[in-house]
Amino acid sequence: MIYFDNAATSYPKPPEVLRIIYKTMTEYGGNPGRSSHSLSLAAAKMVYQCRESIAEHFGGNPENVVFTYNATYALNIAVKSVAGKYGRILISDIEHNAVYRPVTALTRTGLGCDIFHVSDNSDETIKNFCDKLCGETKIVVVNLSSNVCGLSVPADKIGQLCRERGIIFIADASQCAGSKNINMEKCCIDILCAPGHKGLMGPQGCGFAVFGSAFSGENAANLKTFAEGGSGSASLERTMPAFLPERLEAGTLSTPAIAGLLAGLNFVKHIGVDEIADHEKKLFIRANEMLYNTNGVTVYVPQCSGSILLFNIEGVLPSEAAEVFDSDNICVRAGYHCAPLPHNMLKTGKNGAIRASFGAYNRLSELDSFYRVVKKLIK
Amino acid sequence: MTRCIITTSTITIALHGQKILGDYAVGSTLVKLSSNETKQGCAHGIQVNCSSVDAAKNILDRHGVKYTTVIYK
Repeated sequence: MIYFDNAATSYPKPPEVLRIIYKTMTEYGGNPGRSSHSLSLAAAKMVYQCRESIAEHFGGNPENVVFTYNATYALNIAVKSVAGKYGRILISDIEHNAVYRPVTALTRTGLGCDIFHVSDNSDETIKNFCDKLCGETKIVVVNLSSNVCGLSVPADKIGQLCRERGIIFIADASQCAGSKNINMEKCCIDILCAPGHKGLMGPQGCGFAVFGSAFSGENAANLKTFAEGGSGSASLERTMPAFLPERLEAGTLSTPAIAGLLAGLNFVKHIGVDEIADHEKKLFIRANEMLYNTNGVTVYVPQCSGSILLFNIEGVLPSEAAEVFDSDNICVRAGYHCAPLPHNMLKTGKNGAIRASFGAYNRLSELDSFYRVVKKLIK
Repeated sequence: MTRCIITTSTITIALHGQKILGDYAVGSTLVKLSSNETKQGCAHGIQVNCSSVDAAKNILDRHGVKYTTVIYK
């Protein structure tokens, strides 16, 4: 099987991820931090170790790493915990529904929303961003790298502009965590959200939001809770703890998924983020060379080399093409990729497009089989 | 023998504190406290040698680790 759907979830996972999940289920089987026995405390230590590893990787504090089910929950928690009753939220036109939908929901409560255009030229993107900023802008939520095409945003410049204006900057690193070095301090990111199961090579079932130092200690008490429930502490209180991360972590965490994320992150650190990015870029460049000059194939944003190639084949529905790829044991994804905003911007049409997304385990030789199917589909 | 426990409101704070104490070679054990030992219900604590309590508190203070109180049991 050839797996070119790494933007949906990375596959396969490193063997050490599988091993640690099994080990966690058998040796750290307690509920993290809930009980006083050794299994529970061992699970809590494993969870904290993962908080430390994430904090080290992104430049934050371990105590400010909030675990969630996935990046969508992390983004919902991030946006809704800081949103007030008034003001405007600025997002980009490459946002995933994980941002677009919660922000749209907030507009129904009285907040305003503006959208800026992301170009393949970063200066132009910054100009578009500045044009949409206004005195009422309170929060900026930006997808650092599109899940649909190779477009990305200059996070450091956007972060600086937000910091100067006292605007909260929330970064969606879903598509680039693990293949792009991101430092929260350097990029002035207030809250960084990511899934564990994509570029960080962990299993599904775990994502996180890293809150910046402005939310440390008692400042966390100002964050609105997204869900309330057990936290393993202050049980007699009627409200969630006033400190991160427990304030925003109601209920039992998924220790196996968090342990798997820890092993996945160790894998990424061992190989190196830059090395993984270079590898994915080589795959993109080769695939783009194959498709860009092929009659009957439209490649969207071919100039942005990353890990994602978005294309359409003349006269073939993307969904039909994906079925043909699948029958040849090649996994790609067709449609809108849960992101209508970038598809509308790229004018991919009413059926979306085909996405081939590359990962750490893909090989250049796999592209020959991929290209054979493309040629087969051209009428 | 008396046990000395520096209590914290959450397990993450306790683990953070334990890590910092470890950096200063202060040995400690993570413990969970039952609701009858605290005012707010379940809590966690860092158990240290009673002769090291003041030094441990000092280190935690310097690193901004919020502990609640010290229990002697």
